[in-house]
Amino acid sequence: MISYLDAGTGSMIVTALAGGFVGAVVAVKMAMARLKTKITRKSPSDKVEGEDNSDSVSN
Amino acid sequence: MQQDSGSFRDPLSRVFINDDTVLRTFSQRGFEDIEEVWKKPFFQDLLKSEVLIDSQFVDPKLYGFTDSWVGAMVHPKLPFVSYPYEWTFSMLKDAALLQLRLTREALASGVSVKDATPYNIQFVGSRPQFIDIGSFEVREQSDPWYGYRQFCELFLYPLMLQGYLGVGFQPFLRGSVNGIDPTTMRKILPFKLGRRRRGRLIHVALHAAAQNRFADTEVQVKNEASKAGMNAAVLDATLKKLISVVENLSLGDRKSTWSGYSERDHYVDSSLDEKEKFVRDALVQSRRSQVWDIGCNDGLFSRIAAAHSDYVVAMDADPLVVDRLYQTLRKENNEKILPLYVDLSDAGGGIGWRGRERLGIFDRGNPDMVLYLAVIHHLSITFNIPIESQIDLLANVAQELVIEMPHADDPKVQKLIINKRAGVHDDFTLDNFERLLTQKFDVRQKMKLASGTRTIFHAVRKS
Repeated sequence: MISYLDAGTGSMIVTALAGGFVGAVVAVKMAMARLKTKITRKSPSDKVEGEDNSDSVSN
Repeated sequence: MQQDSGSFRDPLSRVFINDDTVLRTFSQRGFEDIEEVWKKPFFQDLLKSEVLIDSQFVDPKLYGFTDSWVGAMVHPKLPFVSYPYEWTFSMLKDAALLQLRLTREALASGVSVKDATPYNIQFVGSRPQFIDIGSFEVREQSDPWYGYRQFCELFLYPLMLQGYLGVGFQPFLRGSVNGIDPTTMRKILPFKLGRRRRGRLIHVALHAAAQNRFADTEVQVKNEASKAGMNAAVLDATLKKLISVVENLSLGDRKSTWSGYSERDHYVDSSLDEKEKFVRDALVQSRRSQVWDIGCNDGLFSRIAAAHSDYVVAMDADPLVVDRLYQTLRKENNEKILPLYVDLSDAGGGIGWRGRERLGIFDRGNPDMVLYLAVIHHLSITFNIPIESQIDLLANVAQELVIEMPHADDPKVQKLIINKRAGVHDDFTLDNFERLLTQKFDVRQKMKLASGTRTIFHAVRKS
């Protein structure tokens, strides 16, 4: 599928949370998976994301 | 055929228009999708129930397309295309519910609706209909709901503005073809103790925070989410909850300039009867395909026009009055009268890409006749729009005109003029009006109403 819209990372996460309990479970699992990745190895993409947090606030 | 100036965002499909047909073309990829979706029972049901616009496959070569458009479909041309900033609260709400229900039904059948914009919905009279067949595609298991943010920006936030704050959404939607973004909405709709605003926490506050937090992320969240169990069932739960949020939004009991006061109160009953008869007599002379009733109020004259023409666009500058009319028409399943919120003193220009993505109201149709009853004094006196300019506009728009001119001593005119400097509206007289009218129109019929302070004209544009 090639939807022409960008789903938006933030928006995508909210669609899970908005689904109530089942969605919240998905969100928690995603957070856990991220945490696990962070602990086991520092991937370059994580670093990029970490650095960019401060910038994105200026939106 | 000419490409529709608003059809370019989705690379898989385009819309072309000529005098009586709308042609939607598909690229190879888009065509494969729609052929697959077409076979699904839910899609056929939506076509049968006219929730989706009537669609027939045709060979694009018949229309001269030999390039990359491998498939095509024809749709009927709608009598009048309207935009969400011309809709009222209840219209946008019904359109939002249609969008959500459609997305949910599609999801249950393994189909995605790739966007969520009110511009994909049109009203046939008072019935909302989904017109963008190119929006459907076969769903892949890891697909998120691509249209969620767009749904918030163009449906949910505008409805919340009106429902929670009593602020009309129309200027926001006309101000931006993309709607209201989550961060802006969070600032407009802050948390308020003791006020329950369903959906604010997740769809506004959290949405804005998440969007900022992940603005520059390079991780593909789609796959992460899918691995964590994000699937059709979760999206369905989200859609179901959103439907409930939208259903709970209401216009409330709000009063407007006209809703607590009818212009008609000023008429002696016999004046209204006479006026009705005059309008009917003008209309019965021949059947028109489209009539615009500008300043439609409760739609009394729109209904008379609808009895003698194919389609009526009923416009008024008061969104609450139009909302009430819409709800009445919707209950009757009326498909002949399209109620729209149009403030003529501030209507016109196109918006979006190159100012042509969504056309101005006068570029979207040509009525055969315009009813312009109890309007001219509001525009002339309240908004200082010269009579001459109003007549010029009407001559540009329509062949025929039924227009009511209140005299300088009319009580309503006196009321509008009371706080203005003496002499500013000295030219607002019947004589001056008639002089200007007859420069552009031939008067067929004219009658002074029983009140003695208003005259009504049936006029035909000079050839």
